[in-house]
Amino acid sequence: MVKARVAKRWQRWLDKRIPPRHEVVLDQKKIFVFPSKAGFLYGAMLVVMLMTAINYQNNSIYLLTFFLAGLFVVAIQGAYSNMAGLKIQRMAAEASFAGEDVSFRFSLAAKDNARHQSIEVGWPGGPEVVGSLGELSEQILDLHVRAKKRGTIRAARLRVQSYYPLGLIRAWSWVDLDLTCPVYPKPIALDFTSSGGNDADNTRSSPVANDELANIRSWRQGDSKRRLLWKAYAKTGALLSLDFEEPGEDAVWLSWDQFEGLEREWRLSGLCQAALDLTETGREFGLRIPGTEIEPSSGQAHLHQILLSLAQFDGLEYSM
Amino acid sequence: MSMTTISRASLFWVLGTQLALVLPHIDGLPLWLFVIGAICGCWRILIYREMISFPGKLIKFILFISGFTLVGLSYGGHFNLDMAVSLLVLAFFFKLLETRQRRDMYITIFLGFFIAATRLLYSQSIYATFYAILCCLGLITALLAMHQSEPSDIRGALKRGGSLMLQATPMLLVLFFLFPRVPPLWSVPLPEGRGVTGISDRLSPGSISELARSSATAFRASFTGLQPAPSERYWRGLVYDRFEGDEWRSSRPTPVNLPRVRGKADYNYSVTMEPSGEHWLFALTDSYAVDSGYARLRSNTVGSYLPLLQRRQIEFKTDKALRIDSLYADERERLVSLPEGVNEKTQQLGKSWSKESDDVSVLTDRALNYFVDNGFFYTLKPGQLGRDAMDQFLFDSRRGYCEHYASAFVYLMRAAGVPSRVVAGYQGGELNPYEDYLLVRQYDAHAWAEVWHEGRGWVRVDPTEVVAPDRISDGANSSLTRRNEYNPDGIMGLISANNLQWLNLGLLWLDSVNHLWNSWFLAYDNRMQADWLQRLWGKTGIEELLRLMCIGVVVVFIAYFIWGNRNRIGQRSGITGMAAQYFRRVAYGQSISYQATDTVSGLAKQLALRHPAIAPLVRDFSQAYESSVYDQSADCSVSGLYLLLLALKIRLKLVLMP
Repeated sequence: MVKARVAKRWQRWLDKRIPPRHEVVLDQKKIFVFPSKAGFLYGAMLVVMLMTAINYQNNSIYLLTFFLAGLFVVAIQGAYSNMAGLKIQRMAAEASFAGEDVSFRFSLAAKDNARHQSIEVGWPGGPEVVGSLGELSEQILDLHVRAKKRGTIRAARLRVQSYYPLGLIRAWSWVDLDLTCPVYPKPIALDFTSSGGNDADNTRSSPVANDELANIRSWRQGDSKRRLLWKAYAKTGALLSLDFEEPGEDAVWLSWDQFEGLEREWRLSGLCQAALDLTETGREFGLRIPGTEIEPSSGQAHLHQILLSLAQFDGLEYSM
Repeated sequence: MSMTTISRASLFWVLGTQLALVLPHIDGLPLWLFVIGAICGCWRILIYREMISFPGKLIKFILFISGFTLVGLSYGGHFNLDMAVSLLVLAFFFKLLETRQRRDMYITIFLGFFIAATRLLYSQSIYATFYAILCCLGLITALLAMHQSEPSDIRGALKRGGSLMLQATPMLLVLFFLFPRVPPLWSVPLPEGRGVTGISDRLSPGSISELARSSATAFRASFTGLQPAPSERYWRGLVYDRFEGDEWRSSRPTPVNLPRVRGKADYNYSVTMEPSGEHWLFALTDSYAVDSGYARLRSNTVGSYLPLLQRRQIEFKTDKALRIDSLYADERERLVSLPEGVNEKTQQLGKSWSKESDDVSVLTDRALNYFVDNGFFYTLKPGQLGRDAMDQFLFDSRRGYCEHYASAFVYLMRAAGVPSRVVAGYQGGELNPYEDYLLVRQYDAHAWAEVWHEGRGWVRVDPTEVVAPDRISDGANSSLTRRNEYNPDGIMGLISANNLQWLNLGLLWLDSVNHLWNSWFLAYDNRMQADWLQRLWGKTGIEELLRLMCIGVVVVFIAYFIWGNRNRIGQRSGITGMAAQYFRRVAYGQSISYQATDTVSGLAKQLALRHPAIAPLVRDFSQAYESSVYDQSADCSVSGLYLLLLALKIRLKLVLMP
């Protein structure tokens, strides 16, 4: 309870201090610096060394101790300089289906051609990627995250950190690049109830209810596995796949009502699968869901448009 | 590159530095420790080449237990510094077999830093200190290699590490000079038995001549002002007042209080003693140490309350008023007593002289003449002396080194009833032409005598002076070499054998570097710190030091920050903008409304009208700002700073305005 409130406060403070931007240049305001665990161990060692110098009244050990202490201070400055001027820029996000990984792409660049070494970028508590700018002036990095459900996923703040130069100091920042990515519904093959209302057969992946639309032909390279007639294969050992009529037929409409009685997300999953299947056949199809109507067409761009509208249905947005 | 594994380069640096770190310890620590080290090192290399794997838990456990037990056994369970260092080194070796992850690497490297420091407990010479710093450079390079995502070659890595070290220097200087030198917090085990062998608290025939071959440094002395002539350079260390068995011994030292008011010192000098592990110091006659921690003794010598385990610089002054003018009765008795039943002939000779005269000067001359008239020979090889050593020396062999003459002389004097004693120390010293100090070596060790004159006190008599006058005027080295007696060990022997003056000069130069190091760096203590602070700051004390140290640290920190961000600060939007912003705030503060104008020049005009007194300053600012903004070739960081200073000055003038 308290923890949640503190976390909320912290987030609000961060939002004010480092507001979400598509491009963030790290500076004084955005970089935090604190000794790492190794830094604390180093500090403890310095204390022991100082005690030794005092107890043995040994100037050479004083020299060594203060020298190492000076190095610690240099490391603070070094850690800060290594981060300052680093530009992190949002690039593309690669959408994916629910349950799979979406990937966010962004670039690291040096604002004033400075070197930046061992920059670790990652999600809080998650995996990280390491970038460095020296010979390169820009580096493209991809970070993946598992999309739990359909909608629009909003990425958490990125943790950008570095232990350079000596590992004694950690310099870090929480960067919000305002990263969002649509997550398509998870494709699920569902029994299709066409507007006619007659029961469809039980075979998997029969996206279209009318059997007469399809005929059976032998399997060809490039045919979808979904279109394979598995039952026939089990019986005869011949690879057969469903083929559809040549284009030119009337366009198919995928509609919200085709999955009557199912929950919203199931319907979207069914529509998603149907759209994928239809695109594979090359047939033109359109989509009618509440609030959206997309005219029949075909091809990848069309599929993307369909999937996007499925993903953004209801405007569901969630954080990772 | 995974973040938890360690890079090849860093392992290379750690292994290399580890070798460099433990090598100097090889003379002090048990040899088997280094065998274990070699095994661990080879093991780690084999692991690296993937020929064998990391040791299992059980093997590690057995190794650790047996290793630490071995250390315990070899020091007899007695905890001392050597044992602590051995344990550290052992842990350092064993950690090699464990360095899988970064965490292990950190521990190994930090242990390395600490081992570099422990080495300095044994030697603080300039070489040892710089060696330790070099080792640290290796370790820092290892740390860098761990965190660098772009691997670099050896030179590049060293360059980067060296640049970090250079950057650390300002902070080092601030801390080193200003960190208050406080006394030890608790007592600690001290390094044992590594002192230079020198003069001991017992004197028997042969104990000084033993030292005559060693060209090791005993101490260095530098004078402010007057310097004693070569024949007056008698450095007193120990006074022997009892003869027991067949050797001279010292009584327990009796400290005397120094009088409040002291006369003008004849000599002001400082002696940098090499660590001897003993309590006695070497000083000229009538000396006292300026610092507390040392005691002036009744025997006209100076002692240290703590044994000399580190090289130490001690300030001395001489004052003739410190001499004692009377002897206690028991003291007098002790100073004429001789054991019964030995050296009968010597005792009879002394007694026979006392029947003829009781004048101390006459008796002294008599004894010295005895050495001159009877063909005594000054040599390092006197031959073996038996039970009645004095008798044999005086009547038989007649060959001896300074301790033979001094002890025989005192023996004769005591037999004649004159209170007398043997003094041992050093005589002479080589003047370093580069830094003007005296280098006194072990072969300058000497023994002489003192006799008590009623009314005059103790008077020095050096029998060696009559037997071998060149020993006193030219020093032991040249006098013995001239006699084809010997050559000192090592390089000094080579020099005297072949008369290699240039080599000697080179060595003297090196020694002068050492001396500078000793007297400026190693001698830097609370007293020197207070002096220095008093002179530069006018105030002294721990609070002052701490305050200055904090200021220094903050200043250096800010300097680091500015230096690190110099590119960014130089930008137009940076410091120039800051100055303009500040100027605007100052102007608005003078109730100049910003609706009317917002440009710097506009504000400047209004401000100048309102306050004619600062008009020139404001005009300067306005012009400097214009040229800084419009002149692309101007150096932004400099002009920015100038602008900021001008703005601050304007503000200050406004505040101070009536």
